[in-house]
Amino acid sequence: MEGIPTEDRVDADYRSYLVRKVIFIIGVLIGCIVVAGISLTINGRGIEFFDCYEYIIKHILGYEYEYRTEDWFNDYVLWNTYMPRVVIAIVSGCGLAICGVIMQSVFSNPLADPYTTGVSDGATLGATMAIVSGLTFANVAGSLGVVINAFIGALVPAVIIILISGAVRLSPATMILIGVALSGVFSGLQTLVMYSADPEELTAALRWGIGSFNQIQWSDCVIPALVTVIGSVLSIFMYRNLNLLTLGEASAKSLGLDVEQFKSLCMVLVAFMAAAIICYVGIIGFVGLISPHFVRMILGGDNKYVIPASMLVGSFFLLASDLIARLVVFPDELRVGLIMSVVGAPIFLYMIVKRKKGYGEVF
Amino acid sequence: MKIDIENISFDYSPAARVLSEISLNIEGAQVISILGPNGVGKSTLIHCINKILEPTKGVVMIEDKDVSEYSLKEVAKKIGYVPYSSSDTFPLTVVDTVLLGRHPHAGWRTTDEDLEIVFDVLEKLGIQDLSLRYFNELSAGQRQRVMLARGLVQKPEVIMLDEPTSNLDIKHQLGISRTLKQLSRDEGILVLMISHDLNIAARYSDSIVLMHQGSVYAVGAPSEVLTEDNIREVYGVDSRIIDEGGHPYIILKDLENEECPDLDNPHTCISPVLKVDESSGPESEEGVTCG
Repeated sequence: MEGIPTEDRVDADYRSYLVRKVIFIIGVLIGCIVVAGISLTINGRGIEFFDCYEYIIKHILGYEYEYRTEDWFNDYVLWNTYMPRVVIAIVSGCGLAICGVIMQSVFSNPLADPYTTGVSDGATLGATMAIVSGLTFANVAGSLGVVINAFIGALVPAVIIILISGAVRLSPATMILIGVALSGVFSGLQTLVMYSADPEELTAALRWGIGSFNQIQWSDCVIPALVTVIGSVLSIFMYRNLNLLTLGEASAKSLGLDVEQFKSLCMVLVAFMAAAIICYVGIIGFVGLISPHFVRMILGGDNKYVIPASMLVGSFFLLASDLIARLVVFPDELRVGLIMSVVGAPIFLYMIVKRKKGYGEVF
Repeated sequence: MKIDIENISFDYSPAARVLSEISLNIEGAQVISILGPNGVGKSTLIHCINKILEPTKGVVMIEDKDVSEYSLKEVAKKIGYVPYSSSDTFPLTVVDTVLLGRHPHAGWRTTDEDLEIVFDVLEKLGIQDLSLRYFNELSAGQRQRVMLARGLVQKPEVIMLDEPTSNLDIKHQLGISRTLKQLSRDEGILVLMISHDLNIAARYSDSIVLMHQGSVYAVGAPSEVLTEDNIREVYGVDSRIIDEGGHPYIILKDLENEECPDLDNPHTCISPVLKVDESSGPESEEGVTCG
């Protein structure tokens, strides 16, 4: 580097530091493609890794096979039975990871995510009420009614936490305690609602307790995918505002950000995304918490990269957890939420203990 | 740049009034220090100027326009703010931290011009080598410079600093103070800083605003404001003022000519006399008046 002016050298260093981030993101993307491919190979028809992708790509390009030939069956099974599962894993991973990034930035709290703050339980209560009693806040029937109910349910803890954090300066630990309290209230209410349920409704309602991708169909992917795409685009555009929030409220405001308005917008977005996902797959903990942490440990705190990288890491975690859920008791299946908790909680503990770059310092 | 504070009051509740009917007229490129005991409302006052807080009574006028009529971004283009400390929960690198100062001017993308401005300021403050270090890995003095850089890349006409020299060793206190003085002299920036160090304020300020019980007690040149009577009244401390190169130098009376009462902390008895080569003093006729 001798002979190169300092300014150019720093500028070059900065650009290579950006390139390293992009390389990480591409690496995780490749990881997702590999894990999704392996997941697709457990298809009961012996279709190999690359053949799976060939069928999927041909299907997307509109390729049609002769009716009831082997190719037709392979395409049919892969596309209709296994592909929705991969898509919902990707969508849920992206969505929950974004919820985690946004909540952690909004509250300057490394422990915040929909699961730890009671937002997930609020959404579950809302959904349960719609399923069991047919009671919808918005008077809309069908699955949209359930989503809207879950959204309103998710909004309640979100608003309560926003109000409390506006009045009192919350330490990360205090906020989680409030989350625990709110979760307790929502779980209690949910149990109360279930008392009035008949066995069939009870089974349907219990589905939300531990998230699962079993029996997911294309029709189940539409709303979560739509909401996640909208949420992803919005959050990627908001990256700088999220960065500003991490400086502290006074600094963010002095740099031109309307902090209160932006926080409210963020919480509505989080409630909506969490609700749309939880309605279809149930509660999956830790993914929203761990993904952003994992990314920040490697890429630093700039949300411009943390948001897309967390989306991919979240997808990777859920794809991998779902793969494990399908392999552990093969040919039966476990629930992805269970695997995520069993694998995710120790990883989170490890991250807290490791504390690279001051990370995980929660109190 | 002209800031007129007209009769503002601020309270969090009627029983706890923080600011009481403050009026000040500030004009021109100069260094102004706001002094006063803890809890007197110094930070609240500057927060009312850049719209972080809204006064419960009275108005703040920037360039003859009520600050409430400006958007937060418009204010941010005119006034840079360097807080007492900055959160490091999710630390960014120095360059990314400073880049956030471009927010009021920037669109969605970071342009080469933004980066150029950032690297220029980092170089000017002598911290370009820290560019890719994380904010939480820096020393207090380095953090202070990074926060100052963030304020400067806003390209403001005014920069307000909340205790910029606290937590710094004497060398860094002098370094930051000298930088601020140069900024006002060379770049025509109005520097408004809160300080607890009377001697630093006396040495580097063109004007001093002394606050007492939520109001402005005295305003003017350091030698007019920092008098033994004023210090006794506002801080409840006896002092002796000597003239040191045309600036008042304050020696706290109970430490003067006494044996050090605290042998474990002998440095508390030593009050260093500031020696700075540059000539200072108001460069213009403009100044601060109490309205």
